[in-house]
Amino acid sequence: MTVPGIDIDVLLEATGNDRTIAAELMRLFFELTGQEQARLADAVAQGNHAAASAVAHKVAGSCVACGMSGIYARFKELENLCKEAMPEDACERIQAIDRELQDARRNLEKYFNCTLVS
Amino acid sequence: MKSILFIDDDRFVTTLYKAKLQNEGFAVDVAHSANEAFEQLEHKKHPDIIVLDLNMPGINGVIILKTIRSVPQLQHIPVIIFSSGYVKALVDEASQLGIYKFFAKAQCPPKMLISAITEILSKMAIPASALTADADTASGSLTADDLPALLYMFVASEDPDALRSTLLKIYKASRDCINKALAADESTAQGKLSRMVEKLFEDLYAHPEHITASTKHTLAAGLQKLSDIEAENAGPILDSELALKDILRTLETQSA
Repeated sequence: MTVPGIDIDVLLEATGNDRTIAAELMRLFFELTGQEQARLADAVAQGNHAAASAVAHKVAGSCVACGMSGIYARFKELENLCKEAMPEDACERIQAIDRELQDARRNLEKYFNCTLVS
Repeated sequence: MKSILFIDDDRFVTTLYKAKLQNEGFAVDVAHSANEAFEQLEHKKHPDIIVLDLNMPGINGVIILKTIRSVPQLQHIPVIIFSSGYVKALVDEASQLGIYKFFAKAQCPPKMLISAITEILSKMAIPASALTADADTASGSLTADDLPALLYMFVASEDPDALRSTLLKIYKASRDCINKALAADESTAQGKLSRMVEKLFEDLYAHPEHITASTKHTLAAGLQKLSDIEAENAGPILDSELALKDILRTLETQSA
């Protein structure tokens, strides 16, 4: 079974094919990513492009570790743009990433057959 | 069981890697800040490997690495940097302090890091016996009298192969002293120091690329201290011998 937007093999490989641990990890991922998304939105609201870049960078690293290469690419792009200055469409970008994260969460909830909201 | 200290402020990354590394049979401790890391290094058994993030709030990874490299009991521990690729200044600084490998998180799926850790541990498993065996076949008869010259060569040397060769000779020249000290109780200063020096020899022999000016001086200082302790232990016997000789001389004079 595949999960759209996620290389589930990366996640399962990391947990020794233990679906329970994998689901727990993803619950933690969405909890922490939610907090980082809020920090990212704050940084954008304050026009602090360096802080926004650092947050985007941090979340991008976590995305790779759990096989979310598509969302990783979005965070990475935002990170690179924010290194120089705050992009004008930063809010739209964050909203788009948020939608992708919600889709990923729903797909994973179907896959694991459990809720991934703490 | 080999142990790993994973130092990273990202709770998701540490949780994921802890689960993965435990599945691979490692004991894993996690520190989410420099303070937590120092606390664990001070109070827990020293890890076989440290995985370190550089880009952390507060005290960053380079400062942690500097501290590790400046503490004799810790400086031999291999460190893998697992961090953000773009902080070039930090990466450069860390490289100069002695790291085993660098991985950019964004380009490193879990299995790549696991492979590197397994590779280091497999190399670490070799040296204890190899060092002894190689020392047996090292050319020439070397004694403690050769140590000052060998240590001078060791401190002056830069090439890893030359360092390894000199290290072998130093080990051979100091083996009597180390073996005597190893026989001492582990709770004594001599026993503790000898075990540390032996471990340092093994680590440096396995990883000559980790030898820095600091490790050279630590090894030299450790050997000097062992030699001093041995001389101190020999002191009372020497004093007795001298006293005995004095008495004999006195008796000879008197009888003459």
